[in-house]
Amino acid sequence: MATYLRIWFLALLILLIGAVTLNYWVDPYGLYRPYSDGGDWKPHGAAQGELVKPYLVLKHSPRTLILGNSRAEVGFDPEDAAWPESAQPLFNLALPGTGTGVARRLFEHVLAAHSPQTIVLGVDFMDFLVSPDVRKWEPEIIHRLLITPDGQINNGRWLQMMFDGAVTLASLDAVLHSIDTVRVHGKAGVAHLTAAGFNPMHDYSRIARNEGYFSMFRQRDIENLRAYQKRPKNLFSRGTHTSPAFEDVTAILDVARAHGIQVKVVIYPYHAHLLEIFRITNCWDMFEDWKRELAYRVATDSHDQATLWDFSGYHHFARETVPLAGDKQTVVHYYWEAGHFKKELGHQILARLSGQGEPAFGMALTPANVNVHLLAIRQDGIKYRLERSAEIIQLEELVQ
Amino acid sequence: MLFNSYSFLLLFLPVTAIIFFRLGTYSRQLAAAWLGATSLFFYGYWNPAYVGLLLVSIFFNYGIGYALAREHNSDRNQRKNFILTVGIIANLLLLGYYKYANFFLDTANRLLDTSWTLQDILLPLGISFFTFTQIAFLVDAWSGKAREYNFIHYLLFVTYFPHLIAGPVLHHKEMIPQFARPETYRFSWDNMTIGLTIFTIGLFKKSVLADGVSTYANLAFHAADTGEKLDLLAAWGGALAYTVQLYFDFSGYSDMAIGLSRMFGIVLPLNFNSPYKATNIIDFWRRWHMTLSRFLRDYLYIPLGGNRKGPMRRQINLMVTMLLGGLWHGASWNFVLWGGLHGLFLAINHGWRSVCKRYFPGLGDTGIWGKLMAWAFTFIAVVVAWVFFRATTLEGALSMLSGMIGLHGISLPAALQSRLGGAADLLESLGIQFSLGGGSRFILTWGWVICLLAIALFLPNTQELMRRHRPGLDFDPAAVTARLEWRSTIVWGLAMAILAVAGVLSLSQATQFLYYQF
Repeated sequence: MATYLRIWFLALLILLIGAVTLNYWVDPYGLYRPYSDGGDWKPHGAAQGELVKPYLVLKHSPRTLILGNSRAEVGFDPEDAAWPESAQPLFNLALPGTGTGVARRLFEHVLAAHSPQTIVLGVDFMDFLVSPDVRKWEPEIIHRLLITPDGQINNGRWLQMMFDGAVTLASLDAVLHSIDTVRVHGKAGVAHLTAAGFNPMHDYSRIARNEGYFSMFRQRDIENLRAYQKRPKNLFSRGTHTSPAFEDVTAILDVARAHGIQVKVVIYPYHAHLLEIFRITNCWDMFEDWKRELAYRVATDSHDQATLWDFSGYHHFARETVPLAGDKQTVVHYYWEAGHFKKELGHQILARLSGQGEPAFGMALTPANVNVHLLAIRQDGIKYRLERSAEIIQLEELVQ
Repeated sequence: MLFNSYSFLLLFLPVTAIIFFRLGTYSRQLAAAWLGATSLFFYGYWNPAYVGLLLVSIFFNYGIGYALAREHNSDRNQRKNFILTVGIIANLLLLGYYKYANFFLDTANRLLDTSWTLQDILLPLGISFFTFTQIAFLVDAWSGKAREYNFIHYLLFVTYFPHLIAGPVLHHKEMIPQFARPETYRFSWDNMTIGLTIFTIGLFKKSVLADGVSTYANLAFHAADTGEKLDLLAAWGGALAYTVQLYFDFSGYSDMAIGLSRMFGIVLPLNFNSPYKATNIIDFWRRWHMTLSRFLRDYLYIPLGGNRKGPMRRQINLMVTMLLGGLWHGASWNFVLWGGLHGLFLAINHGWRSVCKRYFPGLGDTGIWGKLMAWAFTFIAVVVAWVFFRATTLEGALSMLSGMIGLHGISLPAALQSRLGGAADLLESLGIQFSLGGGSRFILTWGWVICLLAIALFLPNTQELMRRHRPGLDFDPAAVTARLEWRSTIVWGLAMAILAVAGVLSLSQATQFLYYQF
């Protein structure tokens, strides 16, 4: 029995060392070793942004920082030609499925190590639809950040770093992900997270080729309809004119002003299908109130160091036609589906932020111009519904 | 503290074992005290506040047991009965307060339209297990089967860390003699090897298999509990995923407990014997959570009269036992329904047996197809009952069952449509829809379910593999028909090392055991 135990223990040790070495060498999450974005894909890094980005951003010391949710992660490419030379280096710190609370904490995290010059902050209407009794809560991610929510040095971070080290080097998932990373090396249509934090959505390209854009739009339209039907139809905490999400935006603006950082707050360019879903689910008035409140806050809190850009509306990008069911040939140029725009549209936004691009696309909102702008979008919406009545009927039928 | 955690495996276990065996060479009492103390630390690791409660319960029951033992030879039966009654009521009051107070209050509020409130009571870990263990001890002491004067041994019997939080539910008479044996306190390579092997199998079952499939069970039940209507395949996929998750989670935990205990030279009773291989519900309950079934039989069903008072009374006793067994699992009407369903299944099973015995005496030997049908009926009944066990709301459970009988249609992921070619048209003509999204989830759910069911149904279980090495108390190696058998060879050493590596590498994603909540 003693010999058996020795063999068992020795094999266990060798296998463990082998697993850790494999995970370090392959580095499936792109955390330990530099990698190229031309075939050295990190499909599992793309799904682990919350784990890897807080560490990666510290290595980059970016001059320009992108914050937001998945729309910003897949829409704003740090390699885009529209970024001016002075904006380099950039890092896309946007995280899927997160709101302004996470963006705020990540911003504070970066500031603790290095001060960027500009941040592009994507804000999403859905994050601001809250219950009147909503309370401020802190996300899990704070444990791996340099600063605690009360502004102190995070002394417990080493424990999270050890745990993250175990997850990325000594876990069964990491072994399986390493094997998968080796398997897909150099192949087309593989999910990826670039070293600068951008998700190019290669996997969506493959799905679009195989199933057509109609399927992707339809699936997400159904999900969005469900989600907006379920969301509370309310923007502010009970008895106040604010909410944790608005407070987070204000906090970001305040900290940025204190550090002399330019902030470009971006309302995403939702596809017309999603705008119609706002209307169908009785969220449209709140959508407008949300913009008014943002315009007011950005104007009062930033002292000209922040601008609110509204790219939502029935412009020709948002009106891009969704192919019919069964059509796998037609490519949608600017959207993956109604909620997520492609980097091609991201390029148009970045060009506008740099003072170039199409003047009719996007508007810098202020309390003075917001109502006129909202009225214009309403009128564009009426026109859109007249032109695309069959498409709108289909969307409305999905509610059933 | 979790068995599947770095702190347990790298610190608690080696330190406890090394000091235990060192102390054992000097003083057995000291070594037993050390094991009792470390077990209390193990219990208090999460919430030290309840160590006091556990100790009060132990002191109280030891005192009651001591008093009963002193009365053993006297003829003052009334006094003995009184002491036992006080002991049992006190234990039930403790359990009732911590586990059921809010449940009964909520039910009363609903029925009487009142709004009585009680402060939130945090459920002490393992309270159901240590209460039942001690009630059994008191009953045994009352009947003269148990007598305990050594407090250290009693403390260890209750707190012994391998079983403290989620069982197996132990009998005093099977543990105390083992604590008293001198060999227990001497290190043994054989015990360490066998214990480590059983523990490794359990760790793999829990950390790799149960935790691996849990995602898909959770997604389905969460969807049902939040009002989503699952189609037939999604509902069955979710229900079966939970069926295998629960088995590999709890039997994995039990293997780990048995393996850990064996490292210390103590053999625990078995808790599982391939329950999904059962061909009737009576057989299922002889294979599932065996120590709880034994407890319910000995201390509830038989005292209620068992089968001694006629068939009708037997059915009632069975139903009462199963309803209370359901409630033991948690303060929720879903658990009561689960218990009630099993009570009903058992009543039908007993009724069917009586009918067969009387009118169709030859029906017992029905051949392979008959056995297959019996297995299928049993398995489906068990899966249906698990839906109530897992769903957090009654609506969720009913919605899940509606999906399982096809009331929400049948659909396949649209991604499969193009791969099925002409078969897709045929399926559509049969009313099967192709829905957008969820392709990988569908494939992974069914992939996990098929693999884990195959393991549960066709591979030998842990004690069958370890049959030559006394893997559990009351185990009969002669009843094992499986060929595969563990031996201390290089090949088995390497195979177990692979399972251990997979288990250890899963520790960073470790989750709690499902039975910790009970």
